[in-house]
Amino acid sequence: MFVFDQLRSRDIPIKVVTAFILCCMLLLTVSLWQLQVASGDDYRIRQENQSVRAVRLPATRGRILDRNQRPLAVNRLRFDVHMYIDELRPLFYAHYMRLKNERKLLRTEQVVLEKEARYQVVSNLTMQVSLRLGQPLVLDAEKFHTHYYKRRYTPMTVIQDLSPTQVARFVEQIHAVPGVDLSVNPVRTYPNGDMAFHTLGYLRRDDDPDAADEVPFRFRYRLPDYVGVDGLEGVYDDLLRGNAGVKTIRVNNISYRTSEGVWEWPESGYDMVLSLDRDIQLAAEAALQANGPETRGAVVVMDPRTGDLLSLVSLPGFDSNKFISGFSRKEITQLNDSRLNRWLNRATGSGGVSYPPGSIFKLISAVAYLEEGLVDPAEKVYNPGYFRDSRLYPNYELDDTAPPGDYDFIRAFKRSSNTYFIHYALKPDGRKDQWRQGKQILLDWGNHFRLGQKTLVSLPGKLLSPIRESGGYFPARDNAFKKKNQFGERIGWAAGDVANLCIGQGEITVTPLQMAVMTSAVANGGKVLQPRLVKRIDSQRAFDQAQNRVIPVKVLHDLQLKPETVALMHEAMLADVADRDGSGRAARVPGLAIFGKTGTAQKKVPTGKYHPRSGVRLFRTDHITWFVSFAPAESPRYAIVVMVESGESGGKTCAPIAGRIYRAIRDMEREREKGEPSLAKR
Amino acid sequence: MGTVLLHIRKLRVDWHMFGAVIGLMLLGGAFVLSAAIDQYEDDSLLNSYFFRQLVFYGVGLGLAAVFVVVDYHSLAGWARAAYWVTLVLLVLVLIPGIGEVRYGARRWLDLGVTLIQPSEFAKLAFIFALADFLTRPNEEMLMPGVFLKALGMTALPFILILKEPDLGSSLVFFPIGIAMMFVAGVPLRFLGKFLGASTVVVLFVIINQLYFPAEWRISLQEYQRQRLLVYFHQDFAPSNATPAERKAARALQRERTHNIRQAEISVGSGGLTGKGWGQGPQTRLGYLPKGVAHNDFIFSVIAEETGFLGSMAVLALYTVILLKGMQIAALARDRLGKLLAVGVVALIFCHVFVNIGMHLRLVPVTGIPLPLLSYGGSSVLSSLIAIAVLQNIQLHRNTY
Repeated sequence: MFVFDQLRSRDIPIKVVTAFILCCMLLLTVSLWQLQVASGDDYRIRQENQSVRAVRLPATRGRILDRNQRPLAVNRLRFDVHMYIDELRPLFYAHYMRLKNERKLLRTEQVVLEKEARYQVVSNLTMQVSLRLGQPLVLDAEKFHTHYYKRRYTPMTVIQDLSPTQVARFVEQIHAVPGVDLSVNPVRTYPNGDMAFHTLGYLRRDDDPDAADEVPFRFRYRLPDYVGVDGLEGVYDDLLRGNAGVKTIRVNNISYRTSEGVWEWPESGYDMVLSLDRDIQLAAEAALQANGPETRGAVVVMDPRTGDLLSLVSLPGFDSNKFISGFSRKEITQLNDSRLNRWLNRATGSGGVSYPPGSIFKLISAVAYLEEGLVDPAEKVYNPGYFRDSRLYPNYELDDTAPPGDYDFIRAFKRSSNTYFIHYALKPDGRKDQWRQGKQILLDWGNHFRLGQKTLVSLPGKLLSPIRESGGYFPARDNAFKKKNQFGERIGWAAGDVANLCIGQGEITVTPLQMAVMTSAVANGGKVLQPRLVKRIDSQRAFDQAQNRVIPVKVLHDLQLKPETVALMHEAMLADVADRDGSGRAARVPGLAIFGKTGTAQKKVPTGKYHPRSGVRLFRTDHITWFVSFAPAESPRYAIVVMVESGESGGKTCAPIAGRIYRAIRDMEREREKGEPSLAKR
Repeated sequence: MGTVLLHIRKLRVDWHMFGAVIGLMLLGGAFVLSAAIDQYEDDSLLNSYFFRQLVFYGVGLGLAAVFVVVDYHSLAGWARAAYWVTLVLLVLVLIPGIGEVRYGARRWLDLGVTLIQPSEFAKLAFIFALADFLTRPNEEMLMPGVFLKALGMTALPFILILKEPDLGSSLVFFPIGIAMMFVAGVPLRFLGKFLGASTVVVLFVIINQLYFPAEWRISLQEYQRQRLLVYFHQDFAPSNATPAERKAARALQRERTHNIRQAEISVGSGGLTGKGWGQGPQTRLGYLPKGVAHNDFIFSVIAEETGFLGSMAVLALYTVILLKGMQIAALARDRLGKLLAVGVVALIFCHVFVNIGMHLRLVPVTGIPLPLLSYGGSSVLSSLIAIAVLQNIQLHRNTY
């Protein structure tokens, strides 16, 4: 081997030099192995890191549709004009040379001039776009320079959201302006404005670089994306949002884009089909709004056969679109108004809000008395216009809104006589003091109706509850003490508490949604249903149809009411609306049998003032007014609960609102009956 | 002339070495093309680095043929004259108006057609002159005067090139001189003393630059100091710097380390088999600066695009040339031939080791080209002439 010839030579210096060269070459070999093979992957990653920018591509958000596939929250196409900075490099250079005008410049002066040249070129092009679109545009120097330094590999937005005319003009004249192009982006839109604000929720711009994503690395740049905050948009954000994709942009040493590829395509989110009926929702909102401009209240329309929520209204609301387009100063004031509190979902009691039911609780009291056989419907109780029994209950006294006279069950129900209901609560067998037994019966039946519990728990398929709700408060069946009072003391029950409870005051708060469940149970003969807001979750992608989910109807509890009880309840509720002296008469609609019950609950509200001498908080009495109802007579299809805060009374404030909704529903049904045969003919 | 042809017919030319040279030239052509491939989109072919490199190879081969056939003894007769002529050229380079400035250093002479870098040819002239000078009886090698004269011959071009400034090229003279003196039989005690002394000086300069306060430092060129800081991974900012100064120093450091960092990434990311010719993103996307990719950093391009296997091929081709060169030295018919061969091998070795070592951070960054691969007329021509000299010695081994 010639390599070793020299090493065998007798010439020692030659040997030494050769050996030295060989050693050095070996050193290079080992170092190269170390660098290229042993740690080659590290360097490949470093190389990728410096030359590849990952851009997050948001997925198209799933749609939210009503039960008839009408849009509640969908995506519209927004046309933006983008400018591709990398295509302008020759223009930058040409303009720079023009500005420089053969002068000799220092390096620092060159940098300043280059910057100026870039700005002038882009500003000039912006002007050209502006002229062609007929809309004044000014290029913000600061914004442009920031974009140029930080992410010149992505296009810069010149103008967002072109009108259709502008799109047409732009497409016609696009060729005249270099480096600009039209880009189309899906944007969330709520076609019905502030309709069902609390149910649908809203989106917030989400550019958090650390947001958890499926992709295991940080993005250099995120295209604008939104995250759902409240309502369905918030709760089902991960279903609606889909999976973001990744675009990789290869950039050169001065960060200009050289090529692009899509690493992972975005996967669009699931569509949700709700139980809501857009027309009923609109009618209910209009009906409630007609009560007055600052009405604080809620309407729930439920199908007593299935638990489908046809409408879920809470007022005042807000336009979900504004969270994307931005707010005016006035709108910010509106959002921050603590008195109207637009954020509350009054229908479901988000944020822990719940209300005393007042007389509508008599539905449960009445069912309890009838089922337990305590009351003979024909038996008459004398009402002197107040309730007082100084011998047995020296500390309890209550005025009755119903006029003095003899009351049987139907009359007591439709006139909402407190005396009648308290009479049976305190003397269940009508003979002696047995209020503890009365308490137990009320607690049992309140719990049968699932009071004190959220209605949308343990949904099928481990779905999260689609709404935030409050469970209200109702004592457990073995409850021995009342809720803690303001000093944190637990106090035992007294006869007065039972008397209060049977007419829906005191140890009870509920939400309109719970009352809709209760009313439906009475309407459908005793089935306590789980409300259903989301009927179906559909994949938009053809090959993922197997993942579609249908949310089934769920009966939480069957009360197994006696037919006589149901018949009597229906008769009493019908009388409440239909009879001349019924408290819910304002709700009647010609041609539709409506079954109802009014309620006017008293609520102590802190006035914010304190007693000048004792320093005790002062309260005023506020009214929570209710009307619960269902219709029509045969196989009821609609259960409507109306609640208005600070109303006058259930009969005067809420019954007319319910009446307007029923009228709208009746008209809709007539329309449909007329419409359908003509459709069928075709 | 007849005898020369006779020798060629007897295959006295070292064909292994010839093959290695051709191989390197093919690689050089291919990767100078790859390094500046964007050039051909908007520039004429005749102006391209690739074409010019081919021209240099052609001219170089022609010159090499001359240096092969003319007996090296005749060449050595011109050695002294050539040595002094190159020294004059090196002085001329330093005179403003004559010497051309590129990248902040005055290293080039403009010949109208092309620039030449006299330091490249000074190395060859120096090898001839020193070999000629050391061709004397063994006894004279023991005289300190001869050693000092030899040292002086080495120091003269060193100082002139250092002035350009081109520290890398100038430092190459010492290993070449030492190797030649060592082989010539200069006593080890002389060489040992010299090596010891220069080690002390170099260490002192390094420590002085890295750790002494500014007012105590020997004034080197700022870029030379920065290269030392980069090599020893030292912070640019002095320890008492204000935050603003520190920020500026860090920015400067990033800028100064940019080339070597990118070269390291290029080489490392090549992996075992590389990314394919013309496919290296480091080169294509301009991370490896376009100004140096085709010359001083051509090895990065090769290593990135052909990987470890390609780098090994390059090393193997050089090893063939170097070992064959040593064989020629060992078998040379006289002392002149042996010393010339050792000088040329030392020259090529220094270039190869320093240039590739620079990519691997074994040696500091210098502007030393990779023989036959780097773009550049002076480098290509002087490398081909150097190898021609080796062939010359081989060819004339037996002609008395």
